[in-house]
Order: sequence, then structure tokens, then C-alpha cells
Amino acid sequence: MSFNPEMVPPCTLAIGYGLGVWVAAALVVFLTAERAKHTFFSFLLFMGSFFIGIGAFFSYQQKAISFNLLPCCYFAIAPLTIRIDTLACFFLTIVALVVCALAIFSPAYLKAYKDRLHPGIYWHCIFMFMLALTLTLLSTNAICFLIFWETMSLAAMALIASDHIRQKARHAALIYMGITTISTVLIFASFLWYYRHFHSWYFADWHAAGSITFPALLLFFGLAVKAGVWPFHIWMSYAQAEAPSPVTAFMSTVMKVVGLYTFIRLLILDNNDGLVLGYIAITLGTVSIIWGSLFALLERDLKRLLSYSSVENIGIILIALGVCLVARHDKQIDLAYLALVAALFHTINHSLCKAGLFVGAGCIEAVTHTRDLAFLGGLARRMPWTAACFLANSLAITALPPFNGFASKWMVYQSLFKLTMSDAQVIDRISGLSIVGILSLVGTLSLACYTKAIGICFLGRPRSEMINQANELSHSAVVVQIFFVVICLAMGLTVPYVASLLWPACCEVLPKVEQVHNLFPVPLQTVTCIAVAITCFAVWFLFYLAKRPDTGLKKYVTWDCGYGNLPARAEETGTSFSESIARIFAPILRYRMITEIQGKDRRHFPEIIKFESITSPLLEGLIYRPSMRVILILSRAIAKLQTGSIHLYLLYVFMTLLVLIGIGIRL
Amino acid sequence: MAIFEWISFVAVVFILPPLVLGVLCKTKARLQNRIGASIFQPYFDLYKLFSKGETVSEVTSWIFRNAAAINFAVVIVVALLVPWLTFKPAFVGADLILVIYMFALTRFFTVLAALDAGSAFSGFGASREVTMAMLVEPAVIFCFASLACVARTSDLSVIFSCDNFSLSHNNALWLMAGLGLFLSSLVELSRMPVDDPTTHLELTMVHEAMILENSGPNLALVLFTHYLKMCILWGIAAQCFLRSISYFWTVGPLIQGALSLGALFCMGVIVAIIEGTLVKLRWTKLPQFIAFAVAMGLFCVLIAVMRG
Amino acid sequence: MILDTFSILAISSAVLAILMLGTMYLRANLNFYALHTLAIAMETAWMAQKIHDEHLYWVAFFIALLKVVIIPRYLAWVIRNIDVESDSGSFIPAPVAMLTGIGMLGASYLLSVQLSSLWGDIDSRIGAMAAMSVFFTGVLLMLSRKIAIGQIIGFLVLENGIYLFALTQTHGMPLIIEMGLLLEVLVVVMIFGLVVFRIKKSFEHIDVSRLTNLRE
Repeated sequence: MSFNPEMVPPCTLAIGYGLGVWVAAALVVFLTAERAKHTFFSFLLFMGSFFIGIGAFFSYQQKAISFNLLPCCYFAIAPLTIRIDTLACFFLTIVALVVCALAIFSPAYLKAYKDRLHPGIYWHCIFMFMLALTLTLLSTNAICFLIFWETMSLAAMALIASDHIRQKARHAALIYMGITTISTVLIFASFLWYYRHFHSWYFADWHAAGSITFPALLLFFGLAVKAGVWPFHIWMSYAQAEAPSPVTAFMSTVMKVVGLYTFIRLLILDNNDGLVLGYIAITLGTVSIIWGSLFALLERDLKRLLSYSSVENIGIILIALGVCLVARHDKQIDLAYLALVAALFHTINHSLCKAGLFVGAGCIEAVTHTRDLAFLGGLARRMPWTAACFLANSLAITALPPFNGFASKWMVYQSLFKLTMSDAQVIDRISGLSIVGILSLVGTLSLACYTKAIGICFLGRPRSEMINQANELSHSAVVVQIFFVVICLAMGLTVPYVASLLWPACCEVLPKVEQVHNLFPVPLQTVTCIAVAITCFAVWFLFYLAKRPDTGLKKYVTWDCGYGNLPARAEETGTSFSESIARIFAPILRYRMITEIQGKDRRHFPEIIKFESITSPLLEGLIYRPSMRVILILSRAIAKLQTGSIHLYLLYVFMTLLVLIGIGIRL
Repeated sequence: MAIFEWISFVAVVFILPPLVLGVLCKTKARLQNRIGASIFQPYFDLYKLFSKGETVSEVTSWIFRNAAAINFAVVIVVALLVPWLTFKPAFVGADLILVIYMFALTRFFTVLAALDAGSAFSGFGASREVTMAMLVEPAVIFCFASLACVARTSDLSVIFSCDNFSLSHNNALWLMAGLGLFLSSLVELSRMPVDDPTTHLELTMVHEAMILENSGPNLALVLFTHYLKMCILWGIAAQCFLRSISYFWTVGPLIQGALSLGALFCMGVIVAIIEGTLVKLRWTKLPQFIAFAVAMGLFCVLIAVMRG
Repeated sequence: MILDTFSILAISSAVLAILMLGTMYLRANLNFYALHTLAIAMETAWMAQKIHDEHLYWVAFFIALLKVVIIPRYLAWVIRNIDVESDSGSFIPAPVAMLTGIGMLGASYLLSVQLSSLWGDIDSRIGAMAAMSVFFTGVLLMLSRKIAIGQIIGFLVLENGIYLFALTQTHGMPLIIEMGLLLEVLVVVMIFGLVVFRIKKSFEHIDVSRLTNLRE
């Protein structure tokens, strides 16, 4: 069906308009280049995502439609067809929501870095990134998917390198480039396999693609690389720390969404029987949550901390998806639904609160020009709104009531419980309960991680001079953060409603059943939290009205056990806060502490105490570096073939021809 | 009946916690051949603190002053949710994950309040608190989850309901769960052998270190919250122990209520005996102690999962 | 799972053995060992009552006498004399060893389910599970301990595991064989104890992991 405006419902048209706005914007940036105005392009980004969001939201639950976007354009063997269905709309809505908010935040951040970023390149890449990402979600065939997927990766690479003056940013971009190539290769291989099997490039023809184990695993690992699942997460901490904050927020939320969408679309939808895949997903998810939360806790760079925490959250989503696959294999459709709802819900929650947190981190970075926790502190009095929103978003992401994070985590727990209570094999049930334990451990680790982030950044005394001049970045940044908090809280308090909204998306994936109404007990969170709020106000009232706060209140220096007013250097630092946990996990973290004491009487009157704690990531040291070295050696060996002599090249061509003729005769 | 339950419950929530601590202190004193303060001393202490003025560090933000009130409210609601006594008014949604995360919420604010004043010692305590919490959390959830797994629901009020006879023959499970919860309560409440609540050395303290900067009514609120949390945790452990005795299942609700009150005081006495006889463990040895709590939890898991 | 007395005794012996893994204090280890063996002795007595076998009572009595009273006392005396209090541990830290032990308990449950010859009788299955778990725990103890006393305790636990397996599967061996085994264990422990003294005297320590030199 070709694109005919009269035949397409208006909400689908809105998506088209949104895409059109972005295409136009990308062209305009191309022409204006140097003189690109942040505010103007942010507005275009906002308008585009607003249209797409509106369109996707109202197309949700509608009949799926597919049409040819550009009939004249034909990618080699497949037309550029897009399909708008419930599942795609669901993910598109999340993307649009996040992008809308980040578009409002971007100008303020970019102005703070105006001498470092080239506005033309930045905005062009952003629009390319968003276009490619949206079209990846909507593409109906493998060729389109791969083209957009690759465009998205390239744009993301360029965005990471947007501050390319710094060596670190270039390094991060290179790592990202390498890892994304691996991902594309894996996905491409699996698509080729599928093509040979199904004789079609269209996803719609790939019935039960996940049941063919080998290509399904290739595809899974390809997506896992992109989503930052352990052991492929290492690119995230580099890339996300070095990219500008809005870009980081895009990458850690919307780009993950694409990976998850593809996973659900190709490997869960349509009666796949992916037991092996389910187990692998659960295993990798479990390792990811431990790894991510542990390294997040140890990190002293605020943005790297947040990006490791993304690894943890993707792990939680992966566990839920794995449970969903296992449950469907065991014919427990109710459980499969619960797990899938949990996964989708957690995807939304993570996208929203992580975006909010990255905005907060971006504000701090833009204002203080550092992300190192060792130089922050006491920002709560300089940036009260950012502090409060960061706190609220942290509550949401550590899954504490009354925010939405708790609800999705509750569903993950509940699906594991149900797996344990079911008649599955003993080993499944034992692992179900063990993962419950691991989840709770990880929950506390992430609590430690976020209390550390808040406590060190916002509370206590300032650890450097810059803090005293810090102020809120801009009104728009504050508004965006409040927006995220409000959405998280609203979703937290109306969980049953939100869960019922997720139901149609699940119905598209899993065999249809009657809607289960007790997915989330209505009063569970809401009533409890209202009770807490009421009690809290009552206490507050009683205490501070009865005592009249100001009469008895004295302001004084921090007592500090009588030492009083110790300098900020005596405060707990991020490193010392996580030291005792690091010591316990020393073998995994390869954590070492070196203390050197100098002086005549070293025990009682030390003159110089040098203290250093070293962590070297296990994976990088043991696996990635050695394998890089092997690849380098191999590449040098291969490079010897490249002599530069034309005659030799002609010889190569001739030999290839001979070999091909030989093969041709054989066949 | 409901009104009677509410009245008795409110009375218990506000009267019992300091009393249990008083009994504990008295027992401990007698074990050390001292006469000891009256068992009502904690009330007097709380009253004294409440009547005092408050001194607040000038570096603190709003979190420091409000954390106590938030925690108090959360723990009061948790007291309504958790069946730590057999007589408890019905309150919807007593889900075990919710309860555990509500406790995590109090921990979140306690830790933040500790970091807020920028004091070196409170920071120390906060760091230790999260470490212990991380180690002990799996133990707690293993105990509860295996009970939930056998009862086929995660609703605590159903699991601990005295009419739920599907659990009445699982003596071993209840015993192990009780032991696991009791050991983890010692860690969560930072009592001996994890931390000495009466020590005067700030460098070794955990919970006391975190609240060093609090004073006056604020401190009173923090302390009362802590006592209430103590009662809830010991109460739930005591409930598990009681349910491992077959006799408990056969008696009427009145005796069950009396037994659960008695068991709560018993827990206090047992803790006093532990504190009188054991020494505080070195910080680096702590994981070894907590591992026992986790082991109990894992035994629960095995008992719950194995069938026939 | 709802347990009867037989399974409770068997499983509690396994649990007590696993708890030994968690502490490095030798005194606590010995106490746990005594309790663990007491559970096995009671299991023997219970078995005697169940199959009405007179001589198993005697076996139970001698186990209680030798392994619950004499051997722990003797080892406690050795410990006091060579003046060590706790094991510093090697390779596996105590908490990890204990959790591994629990994992082994789970594994032996799966194993006992797999062993089809044991399917008929639920008691013998749970007995086999507990026995295998005790056996594994003994091996883990020997692996995770550094000093010679720890190794001896590990060996004793391992031996208990074998005994428990024989007891629950074959319902007890003839009295004379049991007695011979018990005596042998006693003698072995005595000799071990003396060897520990010798090691302490010649090397000034009893750290097994440092005894790696094959020649003088």
C-alpha cells in the first residue's frame, strides 16, 4: 500500500509529520551549519517527537497498518515499508516522551558547552539518530532494519565524539564503534540465516524465529551488545560518560528501548519456543544486575555511576523476559503475561527515571564542570530543585515506594515467586528463589549506590570552591526534572491503571487470554503510601507545632564528636563510603588498597600518609585486553598482504577468480 | 471487635517498644551483677529528649530534619502491615516485598540524614549500615520468600494467619525462618555481636554513629522509631518460633495474643543474654556472622522447594 | 516438605555439619562436631528402634561415647596444648564455603532424586541426601582449612558421612564391623593428634598449606 494521506488515520499521519519535521530539521541544520541555534532546533526536536508521541499514543490498541513510506525508494531488495502496530507504538510512546523532555533540557546544557561542541554537527547527528531510531522501530523488513540500525549507531558514534577535542571522548567513540560493529555483524549473520530459512526479508514471514536456536542466539547476543548486557557492557561506561549529557540520556534510555523492542518482536512474539534463550537471558540478566550495581557503587564519576546502574536495570528487564520465555515453554500463560508486563513496565520506568537522573547529572556537570564525586558536595543548598528531583528519581530507580520503580520490581519478584510456586522442575524453582535473593542484594547495593550519589553530591560540605558559585542551571532544566518526577510518582500511584494500559501490548506478543485483573493489587502501594504521608504530616504537625520549631532550635557547626567544624576533607568521600563493600567483593573487583606511611615514628606521629585504592575491572583485564592484543597481532599478520604493489593486487584478483571458477565448477 | 483490636494495637505500638528495651537493659544489668535502671527508664529518656531544645548543624539541608519524621511514619505503617503480633487490625496490602522495601525506604533516609551533616563519623556509620544491609537482605528475603512459596501467596497476613493450617506442620521451616530472621534482626538493629549499642567509641558504632548529629526531639523520634523497628523484627521472629511449636496452633486467639507478647519479651531477654555473654565481633569478621543468617535463609529455601 | 523424626535427625546432622564450615574458631567447630555426631548417634538409635535391631543401640552408644565425648575432648586438649585458637583459612573464605556447602546440600538432593534405586523408600532417599551432603561438607572442610586440626575435623565429618550413608541404605552393618571402624577412627585421630604435635615441634606452625616441600 502506498502512502496516501486520505487512507491513513490521522494519528498515523501525526507520526509521519513528526518524521517529516525531523527530516526537514536535519536538512536545515545541514544548510545553516555553523549558525545553528540551539533553541530553534530543540524546538524542532520537541515538535517532531511531540507529533510522534501523540500519534503513537493514539494508534496504540488500534489495528496495525503498514504502508510504503517512500515508494520511489527501494533499498536493494526490500521496500521502505513501515508498520505501525501496538507493540511498536508502545515503545514509540516511551521514546517520544523521553525525547520531548530532553529536547526542553538540551539548550541550557549546550549553552554551557558552547565553545566545545559544534552545533551544526551535533544537531544534524541528533536528528539522524532520532530518525534512524524511530524507523528501526517501525521497519518491517530486515534490510530496512539493518540500514537504520547502522545509521543509528553511526550517528550515536558521532555524538559521543562530539567533544572530540578531548582524547577521552575520541577513545570512547572508538570503543563504541568497535563494539557496535560486533553487534551489527551478529545481527546481520542471524538475519542472513533467517533469510535462508524463511526465504523472505519480511519479519512478518519469520514465524517462530526464536525457535531456531542458533540464529536466535546470534540475534540475542547482537542485541545484548547494544543494550549493554554483561559481558558487553563495557562500552557503556566509556561512551556514556564522555558523551554530552542529553546524548547520554538518549543512549541509555531510548537506544536500549530499541534493543528490547527487537528482542520482544523477533524472539518472543509469535509462539516462539525459546527455552534455551530464556535460560540464557535469565543467567546473563542475573550476572548483569550484580555486576552493574557493584561497579556503579564503586564509581566516582557521576555519569559512569548512572550508566553502570543502567546495566543493572537492563539485567532486571532481561530476567523478566527470560522468565516469560520459560513460563511460556511450561504453558503457564498467566505467568508469562505477568513477566512480560513486568519487563515492559520496568522499561518505561527505567527510561523515565534514568533520563531524569541524567538530566540532573547534566545540570551538575554544566554548573560545576566536574563529574567527579570527590569535588562535589553540599549542592543541595545551591541547587535545591535539582537535589530534590535527583532524590525522587533515585527513589524511583532504587524501587522504593511510592514510585513506579517499586511496582515493576514487585512484578519481577512476583513472577519469580510464581515460577517457584509452579510445578516447574526443582532446579527452576530453586533458581527462581535464589534470584529473588540476588535481586534483594542488588536492590540494597543500588540503594547504597544512590545514597552515595546523593549524599556525596548534594549533602555535606562542599569539597571544592566551584560549588559556592553554583546555581540552578536554568528554569527549563528544573521543569524537565520535575516533569520526570511527577510522571514517575503519578505512575507509581496509579499502577493498576498503568498495568492495564500495558495489557494490549502484551496481548500482541503472547497467546490471547482473558485479562488478569489482579496483576497488581490496587491498594498495595497507593493506600500504604497515603497512610505514610498522613502519618508523616501528623508527626510533623504534632512535633513542630507543639514545640514551635524556632524557639528551641539552635544552629551550630557540625558536632563531629566534639572535634567540631572539621574541614570538608575530613568528610566521608564516595570512595570511602563504598570501601567496606568493595573489600567484601575484592576478588571480583580486583580491589586493592595501598597505604604508605612515612615519618620518623610512623606509628604515632606519621608525617605523610599516602593512601591509594585500586580497582581494575576483571573483564577488561582478563578478557578484553588479551583478546584485543590477539586481534592486533592477527591484523598485523594480515596487513602483510597489503603491500601496495599493483602487481600483487592483480595476482590476488586473478587467484580469487580461479578459486571462484573452481567453486562454480564444483557446484 | 475491630475497634478493640485498633485500641489495643495503638496502645501496644506506643507503649511496648521502650518497655521491651527496658526489660532487655534490666536483664543485662542483672547478668552483670548490677541493679540496673528501672525497666521504665527508656520512657524517661525519651521524655527528657523530647523536652529539650534542638541543635542542628548549619550545613544540613531539609533532609536531615525531616528524615526522622518520614522514617517514623513509615515504620508505624509497617507496624500495621507486618503481623508481628497475632492481634493486629486488618490493613490491606501486607505484601512482603512492600514491607522489605518500606524498611529499605527508612534506610535510605537514615543514611542520607547521616551524610547530611558532613560529619566524618556519621559517614562512617552510614557506609557500614549499607554494607550490613546488603549482606543481610538476602537472608531476610529468603526466610520470607520460602514461607511465601509454601503458603502460595506473598501476602504476609495470609502467611502468618493462625487459620492457615497449610503451614501448621512445617515445624522445621518455621524454626529455620525464625532463626534466620532473629539473626538478621541482630544485624539490622546493630546489636551485639555486630555492634555494641552501649559503646562509647564512635569509630566502631553503626546505628549510633549515624545519629550522632541528631539531638532533642528529633533524636527522641529517631530512637522511638528504632525501638519500634526492634519490636517489629523481634516480634516477627518470635511469631516464627511460636509457629514451629505445634501447641501454638491449637489454642485460642486470646492465648495466642498473650503468647506472642510473652515471646516478644523473651526475645528481649535472649538478646540480653547474648549481649551479656558474647563479645563484639571485629568488623572484618562480620560477613562470617551474617553468613549464618543467610545460611538459615537458604535452608528455608531448600525445605520449601524440596517436595517429598 | 513435611519431615518425620528420621529425616529431621538426618537433615539436622547435615545442617550442623554445614554450619561448621561457617566458623573458623576451632572450639566452635568441635562443639558443632559433637552436636552433629550426636544427631547421627540418635539417628542410629532411631533406626534401631525402627527395625528392632538390638545391636544398633550399642553402636549408637559407642558413637556417642567415642565421637561425641572422647574425640572432641581429646582434640580440645590438643588445641589447648599447641595454643591455637582459630584457623586463618585458605582458598575459600568461611562464608563462601558455607554457602557452597548449602549448594552441595541442594545438589545432593538432586542426586538422591536421580538415583533411581533409592526411589522406593522416602526415608532412605532423605538419608542418602543427608549422607552425601555430610560427605561433601567434609571434603569442603578439608579444602577450606589451613591448619592440621581443621583437616582432622574435616576428615571426621567425611567419615561420618560415609557412616550415615551405610546406616541409612543398609540399615546398619554387623556390630563387629562397626566397632572395628569406630576403633579405627579413634586410633587415626590419636595418631593425627600426635602428628600435629610433631609438626608443631619441628616447623613451629601447623599450617598445612606451607608444608609443600617434598624433600628435606
